[in-house]
Amino acid sequence: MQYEVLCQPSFSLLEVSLEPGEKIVAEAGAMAWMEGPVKTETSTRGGVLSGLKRAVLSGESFFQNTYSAEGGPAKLGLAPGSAGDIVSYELQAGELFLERGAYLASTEGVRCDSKWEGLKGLFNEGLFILRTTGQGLLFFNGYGGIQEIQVDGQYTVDNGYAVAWEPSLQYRLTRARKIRSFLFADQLLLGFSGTGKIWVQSRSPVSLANWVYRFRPQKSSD
Amino acid sequence: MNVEILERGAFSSAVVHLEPGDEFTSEAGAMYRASSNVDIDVTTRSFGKGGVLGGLKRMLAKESFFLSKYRVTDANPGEVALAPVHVGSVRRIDVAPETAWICTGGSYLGSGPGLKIDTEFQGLKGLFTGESISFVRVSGSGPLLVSAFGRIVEHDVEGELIVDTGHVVAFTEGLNYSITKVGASWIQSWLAGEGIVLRFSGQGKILVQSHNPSQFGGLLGPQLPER
Amino acid sequence: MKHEINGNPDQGDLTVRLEPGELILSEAGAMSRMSADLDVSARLIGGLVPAVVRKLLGGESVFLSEYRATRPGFVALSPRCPGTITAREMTGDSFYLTKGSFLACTPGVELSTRFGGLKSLLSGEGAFLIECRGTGQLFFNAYGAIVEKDVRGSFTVDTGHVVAWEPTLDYEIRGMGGIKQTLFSGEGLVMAFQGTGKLYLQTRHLGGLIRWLTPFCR
Repeated sequence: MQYEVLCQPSFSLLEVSLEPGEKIVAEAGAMAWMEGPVKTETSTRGGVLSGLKRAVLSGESFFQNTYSAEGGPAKLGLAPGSAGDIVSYELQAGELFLERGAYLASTEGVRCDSKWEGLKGLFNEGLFILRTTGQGLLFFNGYGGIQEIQVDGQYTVDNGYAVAWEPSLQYRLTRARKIRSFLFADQLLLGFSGTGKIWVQSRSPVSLANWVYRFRPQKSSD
Repeated sequence: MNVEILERGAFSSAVVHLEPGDEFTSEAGAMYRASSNVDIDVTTRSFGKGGVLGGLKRMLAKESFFLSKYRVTDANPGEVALAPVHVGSVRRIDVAPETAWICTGGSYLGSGPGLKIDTEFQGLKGLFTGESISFVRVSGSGPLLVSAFGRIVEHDVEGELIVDTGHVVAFTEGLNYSITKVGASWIQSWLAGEGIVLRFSGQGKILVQSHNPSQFGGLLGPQLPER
Repeated sequence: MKHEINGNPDQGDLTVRLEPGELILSEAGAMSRMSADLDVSARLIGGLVPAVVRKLLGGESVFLSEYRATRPGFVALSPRCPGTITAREMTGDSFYLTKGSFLACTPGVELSTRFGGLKSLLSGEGAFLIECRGTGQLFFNAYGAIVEKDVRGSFTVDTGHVVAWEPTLDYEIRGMGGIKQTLFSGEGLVMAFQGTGKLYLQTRHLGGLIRWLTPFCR
C-alpha cells in the first residue's frame, strides 16, 4: 500500500493508494475524498444499535470504517478533525498507546482497544487511551506540531498534550503538586518513567474545550 | 533564565529555561511539558474582583485569568514549555520600564518576574460593557510572551489605525484609543459584520493577530453540545 | 489596486491597498485592520432566492462589506478559519465557491447565490453556493491547506472538504450509501463530481473539528 502525507506540518492529510483488494481502516469521519471504486464498511464496536447514540455522545465509542478498492485501483484522502500533523508508525507485533482522538487510520493487522483512565475527584478528568497491537502501519495525528521525545528516566506532560507512547514507559496521572486554590483542577499531569519514546503535541484539546465553553449553547431551563 | 520561541508552522510555543532561583509566571494551564524538578504554584486572579475567585475557568462568563508560577526545586536547571490554546504564533516583547503594554487577556501567555500584571486595569473598562474581552496592563522590565490566533503583525502607529477589537493582541500605553463605528452609521457597521472597532491614534506600537478568536468561537461553539 | 497575501499556507490573510476611487468587496466581518479614512458600507449579495429566505435557511450573513477609498488606504481581510488564501484572476469566466470560502473580490466580479441542491439543505454544510462571474480578482480561502485536483472522470468528496470548482464539472450530492452508513459511518454527505476540470479541496472542515472536540466537552 502506498501512502503520502500531504500539506505538512500544520494541516496534514493522508493520501492512500489502494491496489484492487487492498484495505485501509480509518476513524469514522476521516474520509475526505476518494477516487476510483471504493467500498466502505462500517464496523460498530460491540454494542447494540440502541446503545450507540449514548456511546457516541459521551465519547465512549470508537468507530472505524474499512475501505477497500474493488476491481480497480483507488485513492483515498483521510483527514484528522484537528489542525496538526500526522505521524506514521510501523507496528511489528508490538504495542503503542494513543490518546484516543489521535487515531487516524491503520492497515488491517492492527487491533485497537479503547479504555478510560481517570482520577477520582470533583471533576471527571482523565483521558481515553487506545491500545493498538498487532502487525501493520498505524497513522496518528495531533493538535499542533508533534514532537518525538526519547525518555530516559522521568518526564512530565500535561494531560492534554500526550499523543502516543511506547509500552516500555510507565505512566501515572497526577495533579500539579502545589495548588493554592483547591478548586483549580485544570492541571492534570501525565508522569512517564522508564525508557521509551513519547510523542507530544504542542496544543491541547482540553484547553480548547475549556476556552470554547462560553460559546456553547446553554441548556434552556424550562 | 532564558526564553526561547519554538517555531513550528502555525504552532509556535515557548520554552523557558530556568536556573535555580529563577521564577516565571504564565497563564495557568499553558504549561505543556516540564522537567520533573519544576514546581508549579497556582494563584488565581480575576478581572474586576480582588483576590481569589475560585471556580473553574470554563464556568466564568467572561474570559478568566489564572496564573501559574514556576520554580526549580533543586540545584539543577529545569525547563517549562508553554503553549497557547489556538493555531498561531507566539511573540516575545521585551518590556522596558518607560513603556507599559496593554495586552488582551486571551493573548497573555507568560512573563518574567520583573513584570507586574495588573488585572484591575480600568482603562478600557468603560468601553466594553457587555463585551467579554478583558485587558491587562503589563509594566516593569522583562520578557512578556503573547500568543495570537493566526500570525502576529506589528504596526507602528503614526496617525490613525482602525483595528477590529477581536484582532488586538497588545499595544503600548500612550496610544489613544476610542470605540468607533465602521461606515456611515452603526447599522451599516453591524450589517457589514463589524461590531466594535477601535480607532488608535498617536504614537506607539500595536500588535494585531491575523484571525479573530471570538469569531471562530462563535462559529464553533453553537455546534457543540449544550453546557 | 495592489494585493498581498501573507501567512500562507497556514494562516493566510489578505491586505489590499486602494487608490482613491477604488473599492473592494469582502465577506462581512472579515476586516482585521484598516486605514481610518476608508468608506465602509454593507451590500446585499444578489441571487435568485429572496434575502430573507436565504438568511433563514443558510443562517449566514447575506451581506458583504464594501470598502471604498477616497484617499490612498489599505484594508486587511481574514477568513474565520485559519488556512490558505488563493487569488484567482477572473477573465469573464465563472467559478463556483462553497459559501464559507468566499473572502473578497473586485467590483467587476459578480456574485450570486444558488441552491446547492435540495439534499444539501440537510447536510448542515449550508444550502448555498456562490457563483462568481466576471472580470477582476477573486480571493477565496480554505480551512487548512488547499489541494488542487485535475479531475478527469469522477471524483467524490465529503461536502465539508469542497472549496471551489470550475463549471465544467457536474456534481451530485448523495449519502455514503444508505441511512445506516450515513449516520454511523461518520461521513456527512458527499459531492460526486463528474467531468473534466479543476477542483479545489481543503484539508480540514468545521464538522471534523466538532467531531474531534466533542468528547472533550463536558
